[in-house]
Amino acid sequence: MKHALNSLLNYTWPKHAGGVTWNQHTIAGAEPYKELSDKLSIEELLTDLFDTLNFSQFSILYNWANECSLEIDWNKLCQHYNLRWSEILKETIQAYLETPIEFQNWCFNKKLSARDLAPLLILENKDNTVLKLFSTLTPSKSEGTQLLDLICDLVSMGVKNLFPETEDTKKWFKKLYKLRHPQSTATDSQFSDKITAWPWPKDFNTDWKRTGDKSFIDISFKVENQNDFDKKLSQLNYVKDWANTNSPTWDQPKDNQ
Amino acid sequence: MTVFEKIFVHKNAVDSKVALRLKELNLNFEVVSEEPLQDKKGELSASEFDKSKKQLYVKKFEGQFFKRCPGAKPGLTCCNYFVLNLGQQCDMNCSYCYLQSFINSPLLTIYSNVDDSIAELEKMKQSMANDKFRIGTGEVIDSLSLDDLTLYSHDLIEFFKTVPNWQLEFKTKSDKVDHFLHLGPAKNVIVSWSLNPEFIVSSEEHGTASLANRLIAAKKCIDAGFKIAFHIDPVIWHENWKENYLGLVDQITKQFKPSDMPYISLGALRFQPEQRHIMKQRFGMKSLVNTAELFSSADGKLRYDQKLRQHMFDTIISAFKERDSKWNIFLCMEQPETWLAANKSLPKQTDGLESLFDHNLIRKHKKFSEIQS
Repeated sequence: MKHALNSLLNYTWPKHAGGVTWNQHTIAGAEPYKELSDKLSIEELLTDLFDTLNFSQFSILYNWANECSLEIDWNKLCQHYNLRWSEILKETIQAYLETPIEFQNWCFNKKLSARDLAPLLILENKDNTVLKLFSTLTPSKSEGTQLLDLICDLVSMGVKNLFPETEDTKKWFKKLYKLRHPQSTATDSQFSDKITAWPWPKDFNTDWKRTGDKSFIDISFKVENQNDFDKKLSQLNYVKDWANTNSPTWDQPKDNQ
Repeated sequence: MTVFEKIFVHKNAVDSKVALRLKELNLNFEVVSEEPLQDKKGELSASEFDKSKKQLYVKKFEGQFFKRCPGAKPGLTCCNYFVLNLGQQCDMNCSYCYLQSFINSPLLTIYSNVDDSIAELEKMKQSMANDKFRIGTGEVIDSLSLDDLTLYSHDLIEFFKTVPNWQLEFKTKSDKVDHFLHLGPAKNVIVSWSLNPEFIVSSEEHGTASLANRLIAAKKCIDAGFKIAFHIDPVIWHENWKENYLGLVDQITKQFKPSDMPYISLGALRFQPEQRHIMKQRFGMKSLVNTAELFSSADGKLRYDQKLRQHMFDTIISAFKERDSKWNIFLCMEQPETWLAANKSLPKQTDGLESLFDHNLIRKHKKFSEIQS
């Protein structure tokens, strides 16, 4: 028995309302079905019954229409759903439909857009088992889109061992990020080790941080009064002079970089 | 000459010089009354973008040809460059090309009305002939790769000879210069090349002239009485980057002198984040550009780590200065702190670069445009 379109789209249909068909295609609900007039265009029918569709739902609709061999004016339909019917949208839909159902479920729940799923376009094999983890680990939309970007790059680069060690998505992100950025991660780690070894006063908090393309020493300390202020600045000056003498090129990448 | 799969000419361009040239060269075209393939306009797929380089459209341009360089953004130390757009898209195929995030047309377009662009410049010339404009034609299309078809270099060189204070810059990755050499000398016409070590040219700059051929073309231009310039841009990190870029510096400094060129510009790989998808689809993950470790920067573009960029710039600039302190080098689309680290001063305080960064000209032109409109 073919599922009604509304159930494929996960679109609730009132229990007390009967089902509807159009040109023998089951559109919504359950028996008894009422056949709607075929004077109504399929585009009008779909937009009337399913006023809003996210990308996942639109892709399912597209798949359903192809399986039913229905001729649809996709340009017209897309306008209603604030999409632009184009080759790239079609490619993204097709790529998405080839991913594991577990991944699709996560995309549906997080309401991912076509743009969020653009990284899939480079994957040769979209039915990748790593993607199944999205539904069990349930990263947030923002985490998940970043993870997806990294996974697609790493799979396409032939990097193995992409599975997480735990269910912690932040740790998974860190692992994948390191695999994708091996050199800059190693460099940041070297900088961090270097500055940690400096003679910082015990009440200074120091860390090597990165914001975008900039990496830096992050220093924080408390100042209680003017004397304390003078003392802390003098201590900072001491560390600066020590670094200039013992580690003068500390801020430069190594020569093989 | 570039081979196009299809050529369209709008009916309002059928009598243009370009259309006549197509006939001279026995290149068949279809006359159209409206822009073809309009249903394909918008964000292009990878294959649509590939195809757009093979479909030529010649039409009249109704807008403003002359503008400030669109690369100038808040937070960057930008020069006072202006652009004259005589077309859109490029027939060559560099993996990092920013046109991949900019072009939304399935066609490579050439504007047929170069005379109108010159008329625009003539108007400006009446009140601004003594100002030192630097105007390039290679922002959204290669200046010379299709010039053997359009011969626009002829029109432009003849005009710029009448405004000696203005500089015209052709920016190219081709070696197509033979057809305008006879128009030299013209000391305010700069023929410039984007350069990279041959290793990068072969792996990332598809369909372009080899490094050797670009340098030969540059020599021809000097001999014919033109100025030249080089843009080592984008600098692309790879395993032997130091050896390769120092090798490039050697090749340049052995064949040319600082007096041959008013400047060399330097820039590192950078692009808008949304561009990464189409780049990966078109060039795969073997491309150095697609596997690069990049980060979000202040202007939103993806760039190398700032310290790494600094290191690469310092290495290249030092290599030039060690060979001759007179080499004039400036950074393209970089932040002030990168300038300061590389040059110990900002460009307005650097000998030989002050006039390139004089923003009074930009303000003056803005006022002129407001009056015209």
